[in-house]
Amino acid sequence: MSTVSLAAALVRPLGLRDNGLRIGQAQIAEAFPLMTSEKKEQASSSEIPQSSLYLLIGRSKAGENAAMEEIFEHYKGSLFNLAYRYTYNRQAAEDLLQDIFIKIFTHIGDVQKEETFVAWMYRIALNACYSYLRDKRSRVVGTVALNEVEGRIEEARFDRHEQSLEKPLNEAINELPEKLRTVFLLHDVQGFKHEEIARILGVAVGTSKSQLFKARMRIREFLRGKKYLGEEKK
Amino acid sequence: MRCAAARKLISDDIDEELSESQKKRLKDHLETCTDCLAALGDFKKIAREAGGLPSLAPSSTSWQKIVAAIDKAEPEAPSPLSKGRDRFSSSWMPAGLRYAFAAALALIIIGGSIILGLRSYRGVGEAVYALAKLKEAQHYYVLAIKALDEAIGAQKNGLDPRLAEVFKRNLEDVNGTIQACERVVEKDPNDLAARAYLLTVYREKVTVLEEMMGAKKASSEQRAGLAL
Repeated sequence: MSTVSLAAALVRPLGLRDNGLRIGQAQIAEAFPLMTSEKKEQASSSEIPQSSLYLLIGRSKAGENAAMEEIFEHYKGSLFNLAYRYTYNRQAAEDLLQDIFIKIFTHIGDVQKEETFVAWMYRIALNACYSYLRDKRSRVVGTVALNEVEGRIEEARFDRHEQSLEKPLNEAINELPEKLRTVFLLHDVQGFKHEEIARILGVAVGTSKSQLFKARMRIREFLRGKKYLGEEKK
Repeated sequence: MRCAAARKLISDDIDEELSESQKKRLKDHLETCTDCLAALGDFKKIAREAGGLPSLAPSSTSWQKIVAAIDKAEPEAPSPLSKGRDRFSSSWMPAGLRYAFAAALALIIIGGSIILGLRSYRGVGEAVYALAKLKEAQHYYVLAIKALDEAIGAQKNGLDPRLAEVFKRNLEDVNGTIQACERVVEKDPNDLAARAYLLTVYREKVTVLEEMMGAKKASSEQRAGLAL
């Protein structure tokens, strides 16, 4: 083992220096100022002013439990719904939500710039969701996933309106590949703008737009296949 | 315009992302293409339905579970919930040893960085890696100095006033040099040589603090011997 790899091996277990993210701080540094626009599902109805959020982050870094709880209360809804639409299982979404916030609060000291916090938090959430999907795929090869069955049952309970696309739309979302699902959820469900998504994911704005287009096309095909949308003339 | 191109514009159109000229081209196409007109209606419906999906609430006990899990995870992953503690101040390592551990890590990393290419790095990737490692080493030196400060603070006996004055002046000089180096690094964070100089001064401070701790210990033993 070289000196460098020995040093790396010694150092790695001591901390999570990249916050578990696959994108750099620089990429998310500019994201937050754009994240103050209206969100359909991003946060609770009472938007935290940026200065208050920064104070909460500082107090959380200092170990103040009440400040952490306030951050949790504000973002739990949007992150839970994001997790739910990757799992389509309430218990799995609960577990993911807990994992996400445990990671956030055990590494909040690593946040150097408060303006990157929200993007950093969403990135942690997305990485947790991706891990869940990968684990799920490896568990259910060749079998019917219990989660899927549970998810469909839960969805049926939520389908209150006969004419609503809610249930088939959730099924269509569940069929989307990881990247398309992420952009669709962030844009159409959570209300982020393409510029924000691009910065969170570390991709070009054009990529975000084209992935949203592909996601909508796939959802449309799915819904047409199930006769929820009209047939196209040949 | 072909339908495939029109549908990309339709997706952007419902997000109000089209320029005036794109809107005009799309409008012209939609006037003659019922399929694309239907796609526009479908895309709008999908976006509207997605935005209106019901919001679910997590369990009311989630926060308690998170707090419990963070507390449980503390020994492995230090938490901000444990105020004032970091991975080098945990109880498993006495204060006097923590600085040595951190300093040893820093030295190993510096060694690795130099081998990798601080002096003659062959590519951008190696330089970036060396820079990252130097940053890591800096981090561990800061921890080492902090731990050493704590260890000295925890020593009960003081120093002879004249010796204490010598250490004080030495530390002031070292601190002044550290501040100067930090300003250079702040100006150009990618300057490998500046970072290496900074680490050298950090190492110097560790040495001074180490000697100070040794002097305090010797003073303490001398007093104990006299007492016997």
